Amino acid sequence: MSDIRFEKVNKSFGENKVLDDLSIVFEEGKTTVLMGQSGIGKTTILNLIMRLMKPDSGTITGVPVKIACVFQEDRLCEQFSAMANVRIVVNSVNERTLSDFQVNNVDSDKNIQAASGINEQPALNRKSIASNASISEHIMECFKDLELTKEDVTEKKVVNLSGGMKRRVSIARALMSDYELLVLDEPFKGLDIDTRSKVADTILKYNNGRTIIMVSHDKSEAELLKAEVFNINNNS
Amino acid sequence: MRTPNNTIFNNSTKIKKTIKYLFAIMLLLAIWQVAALCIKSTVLIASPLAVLKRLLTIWREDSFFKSISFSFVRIAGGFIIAFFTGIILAIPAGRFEWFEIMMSPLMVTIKSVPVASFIIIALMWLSSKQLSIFISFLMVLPVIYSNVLQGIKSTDTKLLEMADVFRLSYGKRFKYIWLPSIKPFLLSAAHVSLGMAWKSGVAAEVIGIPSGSIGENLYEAKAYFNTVDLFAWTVIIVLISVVFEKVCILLLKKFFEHLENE
Repeated sequence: MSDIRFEKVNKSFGENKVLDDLSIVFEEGKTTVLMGQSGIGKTTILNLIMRLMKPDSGTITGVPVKIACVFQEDRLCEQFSAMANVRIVVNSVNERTLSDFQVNNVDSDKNIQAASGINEQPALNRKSIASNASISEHIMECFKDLELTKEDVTEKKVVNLSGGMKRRVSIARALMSDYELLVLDEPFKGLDIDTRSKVADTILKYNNGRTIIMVSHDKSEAELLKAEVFNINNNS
Repeated sequence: MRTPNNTIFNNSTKIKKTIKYLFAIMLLLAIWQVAALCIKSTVLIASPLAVLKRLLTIWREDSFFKSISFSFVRIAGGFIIAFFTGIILAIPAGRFEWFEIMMSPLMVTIKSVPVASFIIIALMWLSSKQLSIFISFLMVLPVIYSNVLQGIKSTDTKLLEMADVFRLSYGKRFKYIWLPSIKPFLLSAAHVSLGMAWKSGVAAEVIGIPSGSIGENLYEAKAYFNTVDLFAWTVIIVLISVVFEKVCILLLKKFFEHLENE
């Protein structure tokens, strides 16, 4: 992945020109927070990055394919558990975030196989079961960091969780997916001050130095993520 | 949160509701009995007691279970084929406008042509034995199709955007986004169309008179002015239709429940 560059990007919604010749660079591996008044075009920038809309003119380059996002609204599949919502985005093998867990489990599987003389095919099945178990374990650890209990995430449907819990599930879903760019649209909305700080620590823990672009109205949130602030009002 | 008090309250509400249902049934039977007593003609109307007596003996006849199974297999078969065909056609129609436009005249025609016309036309193409499958299929298909299509169209576009960003496979989109959106529409379509399948299927049998069917029994009862048999067979059709509907809805709900808890 390289830097993400906006060059003279324009975007209008009817008569309303939201982005006017915007040029900006989001450096690879850095956390950038977009700030500015409501309706200034912060979420539009995120939508352009995520290819949910096209610019009227100008170029956007360097956007990776693998993107994860915490949307302004949680956008969760409400009839399913929090665990199912996260597992949706975790492919059977998610190399980057789960590599350590897999290595440990595959090794222990080989040992079990050698000791018991089990033939190769069952061992493969056992390996995939072990991998699946370790994926769940890893997701569970992330939920724990976000202060969500096993009961909350496996036994309840998302529709029955509180607003703050849904927000954290949405954050866990983004962190557990295989991404190169993490997009956060007001990720701390609806969370109290203590929880915000724990959520910020969890984001930094699982992000492993990958690029983050965040939209926020609160400078203290940028500080929590040790981010550079880009103010859209004056393009500084 | 479920508390013991809540459970007691729910149970007592359920009991009250059941009592009200039973009262409604008793009231209907009473009106029926009064009408039978007033009319005093067993050819015009059979009394509930006479029908009940006939029901206690009719199931012992050799042809009873054969007739039931003959009609059940065909009408249920027609419903099941229409159920899956409706879903399969609604999926591309929900995604591609041109496909929906292509399907539109066909569905409008099936919906608006009277069932009797279809039965008579179909009798020229098919044997009377296959008639009830075809007719129940035709009656159910547009109901399932249009409801599923509406379900797909009402899918939350924000969830579909989420699926695009996270690069979800079509299988996952179907299971986690489209199916939950279709669920209420599919259940309501199944409720409506299950009754329709039985009504139209038996109507087709009465006109086509396939040997060994419920329709044939109804036709013969009418031909010989055997009103008690006519009423008894009608009660049997209603009972089978209600049980079939309850079982199908239960299975559908279980399927969705299993999917959500997986």
